[in-house]
Amino acid sequence: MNIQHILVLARYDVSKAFVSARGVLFLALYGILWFWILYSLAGGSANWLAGPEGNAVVSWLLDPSLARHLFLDNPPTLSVAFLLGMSLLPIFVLWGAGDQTASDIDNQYLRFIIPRCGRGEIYVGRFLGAVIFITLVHLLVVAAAVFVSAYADPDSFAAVAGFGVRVAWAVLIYGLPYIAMMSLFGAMTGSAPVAVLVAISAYAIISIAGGLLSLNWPEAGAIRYLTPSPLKGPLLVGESGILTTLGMLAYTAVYFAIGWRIFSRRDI
Amino acid sequence: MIRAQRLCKFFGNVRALNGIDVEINTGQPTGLVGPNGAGKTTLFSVLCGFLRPTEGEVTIDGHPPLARPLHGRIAILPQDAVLTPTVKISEQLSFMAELQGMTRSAAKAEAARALDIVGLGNKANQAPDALSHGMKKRAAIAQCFLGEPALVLLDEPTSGLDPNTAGVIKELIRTTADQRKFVISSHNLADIEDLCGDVVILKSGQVSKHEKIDTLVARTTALTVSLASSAPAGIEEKLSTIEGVSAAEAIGEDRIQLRVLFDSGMETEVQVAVLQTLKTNGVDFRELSRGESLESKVREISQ
Repeated sequence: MNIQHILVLARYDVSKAFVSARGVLFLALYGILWFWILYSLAGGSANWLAGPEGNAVVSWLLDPSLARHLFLDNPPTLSVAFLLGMSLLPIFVLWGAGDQTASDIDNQYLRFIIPRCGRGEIYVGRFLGAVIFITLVHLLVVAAAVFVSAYADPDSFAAVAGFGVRVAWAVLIYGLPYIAMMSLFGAMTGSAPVAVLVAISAYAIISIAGGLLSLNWPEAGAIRYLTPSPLKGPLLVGESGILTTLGMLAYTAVYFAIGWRIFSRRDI
Repeated sequence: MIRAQRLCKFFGNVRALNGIDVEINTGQPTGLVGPNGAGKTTLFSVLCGFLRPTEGEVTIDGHPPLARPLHGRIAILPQDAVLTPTVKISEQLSFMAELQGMTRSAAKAEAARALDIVGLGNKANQAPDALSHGMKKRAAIAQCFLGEPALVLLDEPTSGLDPNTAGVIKELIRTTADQRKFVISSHNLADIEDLCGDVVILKSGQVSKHEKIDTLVARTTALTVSLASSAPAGIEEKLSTIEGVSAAEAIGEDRIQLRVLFDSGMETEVQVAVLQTLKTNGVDFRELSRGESLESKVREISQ
């Protein structure tokens, strides 16, 4: 595999993502959403969650240890952003990373590229490009959330920034498997809209079915492990960091490998 | 250079290619022709490595299509592929040149050179969205001339182009054909006859004929006469009596053309005698050409 080819492909892909209609639409909607969330939090409303009443409510809604960890031990504004970000992340990453090879299979643009480099380089280059794009977007969001939190919360900037680093790491590592999932669905469907629709539907169906089935049949809850969402909890609490990271990388590797197998054998 | 053996490609129950054996060597451009559904585009796509054969194998210089040693040595103009509509054509070509191993600055210069040779130097900073159909096609053709490809595969290079633009493309092929091998798939048989040295004729997913065009159209042993109206009955027999003529026949149901086969070495005498015979019998002609037309020959072979 030629590393130079992969870097050229990734660089071109990232530059295209920031100017393409689909990329701009994603950035605009995701940006507006985060602007609205952070603007709402800038008044310090999240500090209520660090008080006894608020923490009781959020303990009831979530898990008491998670509520304590997020809102008592860490800056509450950044914690709210973290919690919302991790919940929204799968859908938005599936969308934002949804067009790695799909459109270019569909409109046959890959036929211009493929005489010049290998399929493996294209697949890896496009994945890397999507990782860079999603990472840059989320680093911006986390940086904005850190500044809002430093302004709105009583914690020191060092404490907010320190927690911000962990938030950034969790967001990035949680996003990886979903980017690889889109490599897979893109290679499988050969159409970006269809790939995004199928991926979001599959994610929603697995999450809902897993939740409902586990109410009466706990073993059936294992279906949720088809996606990495069950590992979101440990990432939020910051427990078992290495194991969770390895788990995320394993999900990424599995999705990536299945997608590669499809892409390497399909007609272009 | 290109070798296909027992090549088959099935789409469900449809046998698009059904046991293709063909060998294309270096030299003059090779044409790939055949009626719709003959498997022309499928064969082209398999040769390019876009489609994987169901059975059989293709090699280019001993390697499978798109193998690493061939990267940058093969250039392809896919028929339906489009450049990214919103990205400047110079950027797209520069990106492709970088993938061929050039540095960023060398790639930019190479993209500019390739756009210049297709006459798009002044449109380099425009995106395909802002270009006409012909210009988009020329931009797509320009990417075939990045670097020094040894083999250029062109699928319908002149389709949808006006005569002037098509002329520019044909001239480009003609003037660079001594530096590289071209394989041209086209419905335009006049272009194939004009540009290519040999032709592969496909029919029902198989190779019907692979021959030099000069031999196929019998340039030194045949005449084709296009008539102003249908040939009258009995004219074939009268032409056959001319000394040196071995056979004469009217072509097609409309009998608007005559094919006259003669012994080689008697071309001038036969031409004069044929025209005299037509005049004597009151038959007006529009054109007399050496050899048979490739179009009628291909039609005959692929019927």
